[in-house]
Amino acid sequence: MTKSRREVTRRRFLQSSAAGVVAVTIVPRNVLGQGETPPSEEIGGALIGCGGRGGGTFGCLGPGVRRLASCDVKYKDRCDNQTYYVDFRRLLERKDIDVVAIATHPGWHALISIAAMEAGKDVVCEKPMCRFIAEGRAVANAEKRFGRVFQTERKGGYSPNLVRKIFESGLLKKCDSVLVRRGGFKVKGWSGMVKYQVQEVPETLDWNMYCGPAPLRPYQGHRFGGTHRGYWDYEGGGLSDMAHHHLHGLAYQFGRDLTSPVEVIPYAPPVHPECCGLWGWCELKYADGFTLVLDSGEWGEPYPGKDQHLSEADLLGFLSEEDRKKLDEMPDPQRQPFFEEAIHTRVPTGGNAERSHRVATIYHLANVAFRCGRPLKFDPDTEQVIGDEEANRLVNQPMRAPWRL
Amino acid sequence: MAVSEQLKQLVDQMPDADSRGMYTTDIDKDKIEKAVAEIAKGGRENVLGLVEMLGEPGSEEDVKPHYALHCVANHALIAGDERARKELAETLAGQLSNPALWTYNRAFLCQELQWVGHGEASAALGALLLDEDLVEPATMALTAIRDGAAEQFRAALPRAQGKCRLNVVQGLGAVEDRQSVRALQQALGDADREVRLAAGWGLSRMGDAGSVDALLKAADVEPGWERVEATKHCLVLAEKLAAAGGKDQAAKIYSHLRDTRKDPTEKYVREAAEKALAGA
Repeated sequence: MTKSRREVTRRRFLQSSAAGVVAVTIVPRNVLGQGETPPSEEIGGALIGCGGRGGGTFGCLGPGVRRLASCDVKYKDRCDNQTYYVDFRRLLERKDIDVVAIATHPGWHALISIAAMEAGKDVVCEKPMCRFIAEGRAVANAEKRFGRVFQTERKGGYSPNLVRKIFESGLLKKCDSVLVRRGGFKVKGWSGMVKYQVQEVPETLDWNMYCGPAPLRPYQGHRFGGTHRGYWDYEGGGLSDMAHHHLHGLAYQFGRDLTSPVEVIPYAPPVHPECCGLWGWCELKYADGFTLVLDSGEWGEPYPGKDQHLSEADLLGFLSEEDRKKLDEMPDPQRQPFFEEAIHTRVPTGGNAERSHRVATIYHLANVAFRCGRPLKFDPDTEQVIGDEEANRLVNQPMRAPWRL
Repeated sequence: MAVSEQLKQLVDQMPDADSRGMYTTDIDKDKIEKAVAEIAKGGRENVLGLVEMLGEPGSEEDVKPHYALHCVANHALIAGDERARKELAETLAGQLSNPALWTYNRAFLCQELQWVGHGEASAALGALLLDEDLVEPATMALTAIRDGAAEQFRAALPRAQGKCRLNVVQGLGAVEDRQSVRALQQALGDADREVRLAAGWGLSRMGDAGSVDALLKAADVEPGWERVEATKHCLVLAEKLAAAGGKDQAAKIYSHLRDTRKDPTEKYVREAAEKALAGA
């Protein structure tokens, strides 16, 4: 099959899917012969970031996606700008690539996601979606501006339920619910090395491109590969790495994807400027009274509180009789599709950028508070820390040229 | 300047790295914070001492003073002590030109000024904008500080070449320096593609109504990465203009994109423009 045939076929197919109605035109495999994929199903895909998570992330694109190209900063020895790339921009120029999976280190996630959507591609991005809060907002803006489908990893296939409906309805104005998420953050596992040996950059690695928007540091192997998680330049420690798993579903369930915290109280020792390290817990309070607590269980005294008022009955109890009647009359929340369905229907995925951004804001705010070593007040609308100029420098961090949001 | 014995003892109270070279064991918050507070009490002399104690990247000798210096900088912010913050920032800024320091450590001081500095550090950071080794951390720090940054970028622009020029042009856009609109418009015709794109980005961020034609022209290049990026700049400019009440100018951009993006592979741009026009 030629590039142009695949491209035109898919685009014609998408054009026929008017107003979100699926108009699937399947050509039976037996018509094409064994091993042939119906043209309506075959989609040109690419993987950017081909390390440990790459294959799994590419799989999140769904069946029917043919991998046409791979891009990685360690491909200097094989880069031909046809099948193998070092510079993702060259790959994104290709017209035959419709969907992109991104599994680089997270310091690249937002920029490449945005670039891919600017180039008209639909995107699956490994978690976390971004490295800091302003990046997440920029991804959500790009998703909206270009009408692209975006999904973080394999997140978002949630079944709507009554608890979700209560929060999504907007009827619940005040509650005193507390949700404590204890453990599973791999804090010690994903710490950075404060003492290390500077090493020669491997010949096949484009270290400048690896660092990307982050400062160009002396090379040391621990910064490269999965252990990148321990450095603020590329991620945010075990918290950024694991919280997306722990919180995406909880945030959906309890409506914490609809806004952001207004107050953040950290408990941690002074944080290293480059290396992620230990923290105890963080209390994140919302304007509606809901409190979310992240407790590492890996340092210091545990958070003294516990879960409260999270059941359907508890939450319904916060509503007036009149509001409960209104809730009954409201339609149930819509289930949102996974990526492979969404690229046909053009309906936002359950792991869309706006939701993923709000979820990421939770743990990025916690990390900002840990790094600043002080409580913060946050405005969920402007997405700025209130009255703390220096903390806002972590909310929207400068990038190394030519990279920028 | 000799580092005092008292400072050495206080720095020694910073945690030891564990066997993996990490801070994951025996991290005593109270002990660290008390030592940091004591170092901070020593003011400028102790900050200079910490700078002098910095060593090669990642080395045993560098670990504790590196961490301590950052903690002392942050201590001023936690305490809300503006006098201490300013004194520390001025002290660090004064060391940026210290030839006895490794380039790595001068970059580290830029990073700390990015964290804690205000306008008092801008001139010293601006002096690094023509230094290929330090222009990047200096630009990042100035971009974070903003106060006084535009003047530094403006002053450096006429003499900045290559990597320095790219950083300066991007810096002007990052701080949205309206006095540099003309310079950025000229940079849209730069021989360096990255400089052209940085200039377009800056103009779009500023929502400059006088740049509509220039950005549209810049976006009508041959298909490829530059066209993709420059088209984004047009859409961002249109959004900014529309939000500021410049609906006609925004409509001009959207209409142009609608009418020129005829290739099937640019249908998404056409649709974005049509959607915006319909909502105008």
